[in-house]
Amino acid sequence: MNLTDSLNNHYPASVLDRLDPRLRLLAALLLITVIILLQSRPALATVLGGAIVMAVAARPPLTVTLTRIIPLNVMLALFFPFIALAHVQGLQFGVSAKGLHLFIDIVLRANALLITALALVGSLDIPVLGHALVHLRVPRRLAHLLLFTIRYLEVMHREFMALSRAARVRNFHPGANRHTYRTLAAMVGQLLLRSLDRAERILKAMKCRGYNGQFHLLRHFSFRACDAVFALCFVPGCVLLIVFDRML
Amino acid sequence: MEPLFILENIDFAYKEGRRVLQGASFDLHAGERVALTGGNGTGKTTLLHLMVGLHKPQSGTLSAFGRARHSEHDFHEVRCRAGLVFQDPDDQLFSATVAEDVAFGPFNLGWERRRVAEAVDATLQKLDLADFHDRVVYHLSYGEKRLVALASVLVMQPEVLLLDEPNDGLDSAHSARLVDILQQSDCAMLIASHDRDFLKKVTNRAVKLADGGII
Ligand SMILES: Nc1ncnc2c1ncn2[C@@H]1O[C@H](COP(=O)(O)OP(=O)(O)O)[C@@H](O)[C@H]1O
Ligand SMILES: [Mg+2]
Repeated sequence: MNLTDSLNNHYPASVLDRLDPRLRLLAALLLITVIILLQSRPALATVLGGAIVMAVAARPPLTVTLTRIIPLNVMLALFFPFIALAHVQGLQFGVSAKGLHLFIDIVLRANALLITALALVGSLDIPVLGHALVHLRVPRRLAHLLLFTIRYLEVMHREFMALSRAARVRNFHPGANRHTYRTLAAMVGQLLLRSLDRAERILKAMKCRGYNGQFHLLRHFSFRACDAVFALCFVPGCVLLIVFDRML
Repeated sequence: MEPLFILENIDFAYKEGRRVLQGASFDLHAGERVALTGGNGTGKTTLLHLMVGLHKPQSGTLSAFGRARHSEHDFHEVRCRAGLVFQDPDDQLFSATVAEDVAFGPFNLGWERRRVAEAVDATLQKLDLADFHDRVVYHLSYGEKRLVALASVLVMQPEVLLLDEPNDGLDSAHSARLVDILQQSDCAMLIASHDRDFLKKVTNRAVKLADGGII
């Protein structure tokens, strides 16, 4: 698999794609905050259900979703003994009810967070995400850094693979020895030098097209009726969740 | 009519290195498509970069579009009127998507957004790249990237095109498209290349770099 493939989304077009990407970012931020604040199990279960509904609406490919959800839950399962047993009183063995409840809450919360992020942000193309960030007044330098990183990650990856292939065809086998460390250090040094050279050439090429320090964006987003409808359902939904949570 | 570029007795050496150009002189006139040949490392790339002020000659004079050019400020105008296409498209295309990259130059020319969007569409259409509008640059093939790099310069409607090994590494289909595009353009051109067949199709005059001079 290509390194930057994971940066590009493989989601088919969905209803969520009609929403303004800025709105999706803000909605994700709001819902994540809400999920972190929730305390009761019914509220957590509800929000997980809601997140799953949104995830289904975003139509993520099953494999992509599973490759993210399974590792999380496997890791949680590994922690199960520590969480559940930590609450055992005295020296008796077994799982305490308190520990079990805590564990279930953690599983619900973690999955709700992950699925919310996958549904609302994971299905955005990274370039779109970068632009949404710029338009949300995230400092331009940061957003442009993100955009440049996406663009050149692949190029750097390719250069690194070329270096490592060059080493392998000359029979280089990495091991725990000085020769290996020296070789790896040389490769990383090469990569840094090439990146600096590349950065210089990119700046030159930008100047050749009249660059004078000012960036302009071609893509502009618009807030439309469907965005308003979504916001009008989403925000009260979040408020209700908090109220529901505090009443229980 | 006055030449677009006049280079007289240019000397140039990189900081650490031998002299690359020595007494190089060269004129480029409107309507000319000049082939620039010469072995590897003879300074073709260096010459193209000098012409848009990316390097400054140690001696000699360079004038472009009727004026002698010295400062960075002078060259800003030169770069807006003479488009240089780099050899490696990964140096030239830095935006995430094709349309944004093609829009970069026009925005720098101070065009307003509507005009930029129209020019981008028109240029992509003309180069038969309309499907590429929203494509992500890092997913393009090498040949496609090179065509997009050319589009990103052509969209600025330059009077002069400076091309560095434009045919290098292209397969026959992409090469044929490049030839088509260049034949249709009415820019003056200086094309550095080794490919004689390609040069024969797109140029009408040839110069050669050897021993630091232009013959
Ligand atoms: N940034 C640099 N620093 C030092 N020497 C350079 C640099 N770039 C090119 N050179 C040297 O200048 C000479 C001309 O290079 P170049 O203009 O790239 O040649 P060409 O494009 O004809 O192959 C070569 O000998 C090369 O090694
Ligand atoms: Mg060269």
